[in-house]
Amino acid sequence: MERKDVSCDVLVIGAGLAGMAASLFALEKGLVTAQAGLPGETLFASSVLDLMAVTPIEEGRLWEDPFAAIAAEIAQNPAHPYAKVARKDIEAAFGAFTGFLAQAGMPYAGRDGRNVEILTPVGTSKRTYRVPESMWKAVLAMEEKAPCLIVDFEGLKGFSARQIAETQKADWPGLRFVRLDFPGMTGDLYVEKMAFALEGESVRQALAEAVRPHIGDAAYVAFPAVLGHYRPGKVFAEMERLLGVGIFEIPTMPPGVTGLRLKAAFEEGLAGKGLKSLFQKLVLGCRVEEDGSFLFSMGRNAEEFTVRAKAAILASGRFFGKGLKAERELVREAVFGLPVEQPKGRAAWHQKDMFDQAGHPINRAGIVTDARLRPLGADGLPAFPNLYAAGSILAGQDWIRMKCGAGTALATAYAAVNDIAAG
Amino acid sequence: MSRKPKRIETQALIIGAGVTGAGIARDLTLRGVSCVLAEKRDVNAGASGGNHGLLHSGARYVASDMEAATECREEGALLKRLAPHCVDDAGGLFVAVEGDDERYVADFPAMCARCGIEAAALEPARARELEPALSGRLIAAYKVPDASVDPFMLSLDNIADAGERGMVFLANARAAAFTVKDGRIVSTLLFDDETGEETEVVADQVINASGAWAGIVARLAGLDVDLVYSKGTLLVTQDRIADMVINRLRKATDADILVPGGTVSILGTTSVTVEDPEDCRPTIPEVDHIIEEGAAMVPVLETTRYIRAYAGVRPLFGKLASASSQDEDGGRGIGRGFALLDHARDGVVNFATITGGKLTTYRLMAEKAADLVCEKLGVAAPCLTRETPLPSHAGGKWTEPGLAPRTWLARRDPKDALLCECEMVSKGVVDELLASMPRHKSGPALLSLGLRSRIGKGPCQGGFCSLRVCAHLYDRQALYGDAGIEEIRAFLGGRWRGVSPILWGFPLMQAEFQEALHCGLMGLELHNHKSRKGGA
Amino acid sequence: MTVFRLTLAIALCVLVAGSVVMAARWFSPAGRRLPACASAFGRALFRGRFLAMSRSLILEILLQFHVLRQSPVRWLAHFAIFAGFFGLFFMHALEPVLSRPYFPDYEPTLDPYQFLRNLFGAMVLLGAALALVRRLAVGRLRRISGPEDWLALGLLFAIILSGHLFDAAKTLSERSFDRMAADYLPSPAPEELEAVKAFWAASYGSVFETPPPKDPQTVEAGKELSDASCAMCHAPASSAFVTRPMVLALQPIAPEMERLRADEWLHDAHYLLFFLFIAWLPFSKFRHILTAPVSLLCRAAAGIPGEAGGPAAETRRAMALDACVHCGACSLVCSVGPSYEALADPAVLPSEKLKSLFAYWRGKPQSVRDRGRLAEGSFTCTACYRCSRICPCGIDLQDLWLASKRELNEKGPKDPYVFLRGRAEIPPPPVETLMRPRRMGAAHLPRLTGDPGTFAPCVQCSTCTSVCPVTAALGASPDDIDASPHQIMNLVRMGLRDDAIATRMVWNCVTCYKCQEFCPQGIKVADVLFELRNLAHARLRDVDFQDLGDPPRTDAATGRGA
Repeated sequence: MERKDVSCDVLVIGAGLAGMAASLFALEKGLVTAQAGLPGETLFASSVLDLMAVTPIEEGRLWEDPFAAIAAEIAQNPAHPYAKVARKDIEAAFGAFTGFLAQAGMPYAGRDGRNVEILTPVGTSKRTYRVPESMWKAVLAMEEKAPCLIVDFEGLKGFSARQIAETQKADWPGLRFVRLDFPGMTGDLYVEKMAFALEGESVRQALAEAVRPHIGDAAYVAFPAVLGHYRPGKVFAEMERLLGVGIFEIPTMPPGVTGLRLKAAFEEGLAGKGLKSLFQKLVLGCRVEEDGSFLFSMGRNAEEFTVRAKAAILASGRFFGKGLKAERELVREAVFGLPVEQPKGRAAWHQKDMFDQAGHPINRAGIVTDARLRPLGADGLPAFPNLYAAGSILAGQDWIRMKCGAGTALATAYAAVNDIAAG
Repeated sequence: MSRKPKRIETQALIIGAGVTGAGIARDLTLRGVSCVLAEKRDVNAGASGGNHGLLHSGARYVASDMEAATECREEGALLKRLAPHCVDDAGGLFVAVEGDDERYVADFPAMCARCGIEAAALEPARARELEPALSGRLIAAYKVPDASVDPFMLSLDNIADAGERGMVFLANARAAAFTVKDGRIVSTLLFDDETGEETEVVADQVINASGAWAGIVARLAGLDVDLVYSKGTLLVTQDRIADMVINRLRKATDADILVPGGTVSILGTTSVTVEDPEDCRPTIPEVDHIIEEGAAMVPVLETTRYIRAYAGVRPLFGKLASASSQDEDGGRGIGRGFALLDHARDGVVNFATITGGKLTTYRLMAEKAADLVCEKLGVAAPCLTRETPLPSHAGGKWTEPGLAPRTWLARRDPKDALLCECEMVSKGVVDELLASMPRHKSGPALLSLGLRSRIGKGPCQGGFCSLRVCAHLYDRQALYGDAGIEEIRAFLGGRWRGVSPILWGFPLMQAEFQEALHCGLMGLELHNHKSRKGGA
Repeated sequence: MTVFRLTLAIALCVLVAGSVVMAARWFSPAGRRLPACASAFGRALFRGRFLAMSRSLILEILLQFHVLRQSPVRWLAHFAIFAGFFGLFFMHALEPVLSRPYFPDYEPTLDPYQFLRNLFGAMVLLGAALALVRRLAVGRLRRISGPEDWLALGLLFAIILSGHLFDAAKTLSERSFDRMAADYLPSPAPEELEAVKAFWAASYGSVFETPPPKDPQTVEAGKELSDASCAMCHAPASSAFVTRPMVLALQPIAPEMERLRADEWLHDAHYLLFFLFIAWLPFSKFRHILTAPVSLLCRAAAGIPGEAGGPAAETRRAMALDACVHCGACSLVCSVGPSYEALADPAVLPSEKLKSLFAYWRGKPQSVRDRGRLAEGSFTCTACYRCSRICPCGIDLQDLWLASKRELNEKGPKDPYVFLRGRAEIPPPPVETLMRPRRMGAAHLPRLTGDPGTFAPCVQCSTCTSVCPVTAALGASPDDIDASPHQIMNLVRMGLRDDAIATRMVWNCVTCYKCQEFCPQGIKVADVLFELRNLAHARLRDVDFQDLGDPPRTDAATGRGA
């Protein structure tokens, strides 16, 4: 096979939210950027962008103002990655990121400086910061407790409109539900197939036809997130026009269409900006050249080519993302073998109760960095002058419980790229 | 909901729906005695559900307890004949590796012969041909007629068969108080810890078959039953590592048995004395210890993926304990025989306790207990369980691994979607189970379904199937209000007990993925304040 | 003789009529197709395909080197038949119009012509025998061989054999000798006649009612007379190396043959069989003598893959149906051939699918079962082009399949899976595989599906199914409900490998590898599916599905699990 050795200013390692954001910001700064990694985790994204909603998690305290929540968290836990990024940079990161997605056909909505709430597939509410436009009316409907019809489909497992309505019944009596056959499909339904089908006009019309008799007094109609895959904006607008009421999407169980939309938007949009995409390739080894730049050995199993990079951003995620590897007693960092701050011994990793309010200590384990987000070596000094870390691999946060995953990813990626561009 | 207790009259009340209680219920109904089976939680909630599922040939006890070994041989053979659908007659191996006690190895065949147990010597190379997973450091191997048995199917089928003869089964019915008058229990108060519902049972005879809880139940009648609680932890692998049962050929100790459980293997066990029968969580040091010991016999156990750990508390009867031996290693020295105590001697004439024993000898224990009850009732009918085959019943059959996927494939019904993908349990099976579950129960539906099927037993450990099944329960109008949240929390919480000790490598990835789903997206950790409303 | 002329005339008429009908099929509607074909032919000639076509004429049509590359045995058999038969045809059958006018010394019983006649005959007989043995020996070929294949071989045998037997009977016959003697030995002395008889009996094997003397002097005298009167038309018997052994073998029954006038009816049989051949030609696989060269030239002109649409392509397709000789070469290389072993649907194999398609396109009545099979076979094809490349008759099979898939999609039957449904029962997954999934022993464990580590990383996310194009293409029929990729992974993980093999997904996987590429945990999903197919193939290789009859009907109400 032909070797295609690559040379760049920055190699982004990881293809989750933090990696995608880092590539975007680097490209917008005019850096020659390459990105490697399996796009696994993006596929599971609900596509809402959290900033910060719960702190301290022990108390389960929910915040309306995410920046106040960040301040409260930092005051109590200075190790949180947000402590290394200024508020204006966080705002700028969100602005740049959602701006890019809007261009790629996935516009976002939200309220500046305010968290919002949407419905989840089990009927609970989720507090988040920015939501795709297709979910925005969920926020409005919930605030108004407006009469609302939730549609679900025969054969779509793990999504029961009845369940959502029942669960919300006490607070939101105006929720109704209806189960329909999805036009042209029976048996087990898969969301991506449904989304693809809805890109066709006849399917949209058939669906609208089936929904219309049930609308009644409903001010909004809700669907599981299947309204389009490649052109969600168009499908959404068309459905709304056909039904004549506001509509919104409720995320489905992963892997959902929401993740696929993000993945498609990233891959197309970033390629358009000149990204050297090395997806499906992994970093197998790394050497530092005389001028301080990295020479990475890349491939799926054996070396297929090399990448020479002046700087690198480690955005390889946690355990599921394979940035961290857990052996029976020890957690290791997978690419560079960086020291990982972690609770000592497996017995200290998890709580006895899965839903323990305090969260599991292992989820705060990760890479410790200096103020410029450069990972520290065993000696407490930056392991490499030109290596940065971003996203969930960073220590000191519990993104799942604090609802700060997307925010941490965007903010740290933004700060790391700024530092590289400035240097 | 009425607060006035419901009242049931019967000839015999059996407390505890483990395999012994279920066996007694069937034995009594076969003799024409009416009875009620009351269970604090659900079927096999104690040691009956927390064991290897090993149908002993008896070879394990040839050195320590000849009587137990002989009982196992006889009862094992009976069960293979009378309940073949519950048994995987896989055969067993006893193997010794370098460093094991060679004197024990040398004595083993003679000890087996003394108890009438067939033990055929195998060349180590031949043993490895049969079971490629065995260690290369084998020094001896014997083939014995071990087998594995599905304890859930066994109990459920016993209960179902008794139910067809009029036995009443009450789940979530804890024996809360006895009314004792003139040395007789005149009535028993059963209490549902979930709903607070009370039931009063008036029975001629009361049998305490509550296993490790026998001491607690006896104390309600002011009696003392001296039990030692021995916790045993086991590990489930993702795959079936070996076809046969593999035992370590040495004096019985920790982690020396690997038992096939349909599509998986079960490795265990430990023996740790605990103070409270409720204290049966598997711990991380136990898990690591089991893996280390097991890997000496079957090296792949060091690297294979585990699905979960679980534990059961064995009730060891103290009187037998003191009679038998010194207890230096957490009670393993105590005899595994059973004890049948007629409390007439202690001043309560219609009360008896049966405890201890083994899964393999459950039928014999039930026979002895039923004999005593019948003698007191003046019923002359003889025991029939020695000859009457145990029929297979719909309520029990779905615990068998592989049945659900094959049924699903054969049905090819587009509407019959899989709710549990790992073990391939479909809507149809869930609906069938919902219809067959006891009317009198009110406990969490997901947990009950999990007990009666393979739901939640696969690699996802409930992560996905809990959501799909819960949605389906709403669609079937088996759940109302926000009860689903607590259903999912309780189900996942239960699985977590088994998962948390094995969280490294792949299971940790799986757990992280699931936490992102259940907490990150659904926010279930924030919903603990909600109270249960409605329910099945 | 008039009877023969009449028969010959009828046979020729049938041949011509049949050929015209065939050509009409190819070119109608003529207004559309004829000009298109002419222009396509012209384009090919003048735009650089001329060389390719000449090459095809010499190497493929005359020397059949493309067959040699595929299978030397097959080439030997076919080339022997081809060369022998045409040798006889031009030299012997066309004697009055070719041999006699253009070769003044031609005499069938003189060398080299007698030798050549025997040589050609021997080639056809040996070639046909070799073809017969090959058809019997290659399992898949044997299973797809039908009556027509055996009949065609038999006819070849019969024509050549009857010719040689006639030759032998004539040599043996006293009456025949007498007739010749009357013509070429005018009024011989009795002892002279006796001597010639003695010589013919000794060297040619003729048998006489009153055996002539055998003493050397008489024979020698007979030789001299024979040299003078017979040798100008009769080469020594040794060059008739096929007929000669027959003569010797038949000597004991010669008087009986003489009494029955065997020489006469063998003569008639030989002629009639040949006329039968002529008449049957356009309706049997023999028509490839006409169609294969045309088809091969077309392939040379169009290349692979050829033009997909247009009237010229339609003509080629129509021609293709007539060019097939049912040699089975395509079926032996078919990529999805192994699934035939599992589905027991012959229409999976190109050679059989072509027959079925022939019936479908020509509007012949077909049973539901046959239609279902055609659909299944058509949709199981993976478009690998192997069949097109190997076809010795130059048929662009791939083009046919693409066209038939399009048509089946429009007109139905679209459901290709009817038979797989039923075949899930064969062989019944043994119960032991459930409880003892690995009883086969370590040596036989398949690489991926036998290794627990294969599925250890799976987190049950079902991404493999989400991205699968086959799952996406499923219709709404209850028969479509089958296991998707992640479900097959779970079946195999649980040790239910046989149940997994019986699912349609395993056989419909198009090995696009999207599942494997997208899997966040690096599980070799596509490789597992492929291994399952290979396992099935290995296990079912020797099962003769024809003996199993119709597949059982699937009944949703009574599953086999019940």
